[in-house]
Amino acid sequence: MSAADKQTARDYLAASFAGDRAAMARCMTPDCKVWLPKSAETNLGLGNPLVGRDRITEIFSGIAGSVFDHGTLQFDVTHAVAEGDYVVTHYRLRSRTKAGVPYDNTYLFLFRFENGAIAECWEQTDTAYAFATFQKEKS
Amino acid sequence: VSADRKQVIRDFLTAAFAGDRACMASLLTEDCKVWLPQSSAIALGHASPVVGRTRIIDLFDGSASSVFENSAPRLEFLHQIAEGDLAATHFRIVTRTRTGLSYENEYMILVRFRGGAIAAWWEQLDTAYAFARLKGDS
Repeated sequence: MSAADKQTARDYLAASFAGDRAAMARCMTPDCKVWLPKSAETNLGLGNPLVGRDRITEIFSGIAGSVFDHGTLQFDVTHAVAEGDYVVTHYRLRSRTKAGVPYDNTYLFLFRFENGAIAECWEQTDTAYAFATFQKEKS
Repeated sequence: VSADRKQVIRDFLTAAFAGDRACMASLLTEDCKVWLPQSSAIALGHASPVVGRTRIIDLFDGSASSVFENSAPRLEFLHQIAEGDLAATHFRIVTRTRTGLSYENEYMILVRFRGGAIAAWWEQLDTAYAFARLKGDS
């Protein structure tokens, strides 16, 4: 099921950037957990891990729209690796922030699947770049 | 082959933190490339990617010893997967900074192999946490 799991990981990311809660929910188990970088917990005031499909979809469907100019958002999966119940997705996210500042960052997500749905996800990215860019005003 | 690739990554990380340049060299292709998070590359004064075995050994050998206390950090390997010529590793570093603060951060790396050696390396970590701890913020 590696190919199917890779596609589900991709669908989950696409749905989260589109703010499509229903499509996100279809990719996850009801008790899914998302493990954020520590600084995201501190800076965004979120629990870690985020637990439960409803909470995860609520938070992530809103984040993209709150910090990015939605029309400029583009993500490209550069690599996907699968083995057993796990998939790692490496992707690049390019956009403009709400303030019009260019954003170009790469991410590594590790997913654990149960019966074709995401049961756990660990996220890593360049948080220092992300937070600094989100705080910038357009010059 | 998959198990070998996972072991190569574990061996490389162990060698990097031990400052074992010969071991690191034996695990990298001559023209290896390392992509750091862009804020790390800027902080360390490197272009990204870092290209070439010798430069990469200098990068790994110097960066850990410059920011962490002398005793070897504890490396905790959390997940490893491999497929084809790619392998990914999720691990945690537990140590203390040179200013005495505890440091516990998770990393993810994706590696492409060629001929059994590391040819490309993409790395992500919680850089905001890392910079705050290394700057001395409690």
